[in-house]
Amino acid sequence: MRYACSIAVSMLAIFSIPTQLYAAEFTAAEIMQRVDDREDGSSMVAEYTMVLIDRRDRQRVRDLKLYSKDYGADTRVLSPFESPADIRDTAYLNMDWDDPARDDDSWLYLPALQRVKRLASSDTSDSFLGRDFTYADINGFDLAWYNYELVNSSELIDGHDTCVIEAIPKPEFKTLAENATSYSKLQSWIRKDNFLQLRGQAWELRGNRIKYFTASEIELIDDIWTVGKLQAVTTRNGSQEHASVLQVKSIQYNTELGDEIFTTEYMERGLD
Amino acid sequence: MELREPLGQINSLADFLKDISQALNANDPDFYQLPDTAELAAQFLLLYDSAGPNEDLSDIKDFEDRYARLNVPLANMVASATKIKLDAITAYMNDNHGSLNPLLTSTMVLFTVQDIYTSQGMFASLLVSLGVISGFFILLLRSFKYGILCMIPSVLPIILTASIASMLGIYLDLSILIFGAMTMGIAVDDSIHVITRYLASREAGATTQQAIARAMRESGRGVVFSSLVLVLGFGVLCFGSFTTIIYVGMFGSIIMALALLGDLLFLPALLYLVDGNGKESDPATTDQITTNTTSS
Repeated sequence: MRYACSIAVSMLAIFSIPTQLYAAEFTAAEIMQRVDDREDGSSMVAEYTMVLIDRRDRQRVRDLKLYSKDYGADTRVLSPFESPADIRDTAYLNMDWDDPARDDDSWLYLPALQRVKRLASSDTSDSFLGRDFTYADINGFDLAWYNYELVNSSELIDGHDTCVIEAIPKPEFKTLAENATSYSKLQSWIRKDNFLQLRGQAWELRGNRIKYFTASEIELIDDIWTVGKLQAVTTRNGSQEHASVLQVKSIQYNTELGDEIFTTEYMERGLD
Repeated sequence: MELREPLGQINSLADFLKDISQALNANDPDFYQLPDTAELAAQFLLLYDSAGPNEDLSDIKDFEDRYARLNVPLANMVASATKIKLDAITAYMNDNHGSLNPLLTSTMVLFTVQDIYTSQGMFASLLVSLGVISGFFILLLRSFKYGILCMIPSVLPIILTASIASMLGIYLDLSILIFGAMTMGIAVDDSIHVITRYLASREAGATTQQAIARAMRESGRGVVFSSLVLVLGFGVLCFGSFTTIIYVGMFGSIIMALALLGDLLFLPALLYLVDGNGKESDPATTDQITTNTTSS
């Protein structure tokens, strides 16, 4: 059970909820459960661009592909780089296990070395592809670690009614949650009509940093609510430190993806 | 290499790349080497970004991977020695890697340049004030000779104190230099008292010896008291907790005490030496002196 609404990959796809369900009738925890339960297709192929932006607004652009497939409640993701040329075919493979006791397995393939390097999975708070998204942001974390509270029952964002929910780690999971995310507290803005997260705010434990996540360019693709653009901004003492923009170029759901794609051998053989 | 002598372990992006190379090859020290291709280097950096600790490499390379920083640890030295070392590093980089447009940065570089710049400025202002004060003396006393004489007991204590400081191994930093220029103005005070009394007596027809005696008698007490007050006043600063303040107090007291000794002992002796037995004065006094000499 994952707090999948949190960010990035899982945020790309959202299932439309029948309109007779009204978010206002649920408790905060139930809303988060609904967010987590959205159908996001059994598999996905996407092309996206990651733009890293530094304090002085300088940009670095990386193009990636993304293959994702559900294995029951487990998820496997392969994400190879397309450009720039010097890191082309470098690929990230992740296996996200539903079992909360089992850590994710992650690998990075370096084509110049023709070798797969296993990434230490314990450091899920490490940054992924730049500094604004962490592995935990991408892969999600356990819903049960947190207490949820409805901070604001109605806030209008881009013309959509949202509710604001604050997540604070339960005392017994505090260390676990803080180690996994490096956040002390999170807030989520959830659209009431489709349980799509429009905004997120995360308070970091160290450095007086706050991260702001913003989802936009939302479309219904193959009956799945899809975020076209996801922006993450890290601020320190109130001023922007760096930012990342994840822009989806194309996305297809429920395509046939062979199991062999999600193996280290596949990365080593070459991706095309 | 002589250049490297007092430098610490130089740290750069190359060390990171070598570390990563070794780590990827079962920690085999044989693989502690730079990647062969630009692709491999880029992928090493991506791996570091993806798997490394939360700290990024922004302190050793720039965001766009166009500039790298070499960290060269340097021992704390006096500004002049640091300047020589920094110049040597700049020359070495320009000679061997000039096409990379190497540029020295860091607070050490900043402070060294600032120290040298301001010290030169202070030294210049010390010379200017020396010139201006001498000029005023010459005008005031209407005599080039006495104007210069008057400066000696004021300038000597500063030179002596600076010598004491360097003997004690205390580096003369900016604040102490500023203070040196200031004390010169304070120390000339007593010399003026002594020398104007002396010249007045000489004009009234006294011999060198008599004029000196009268100048001492009339201004001596005032000179001693005012110097004592200055010595004690500056001395209080020695109880401060900020080193610069302590030095200012200590050197201030020493300069004032030496200036007093200069005015009471050195200046009269100097006057006697220069004016001799006062032969240049009017004949009456010359005769008196002559009789004195013959009688003694």
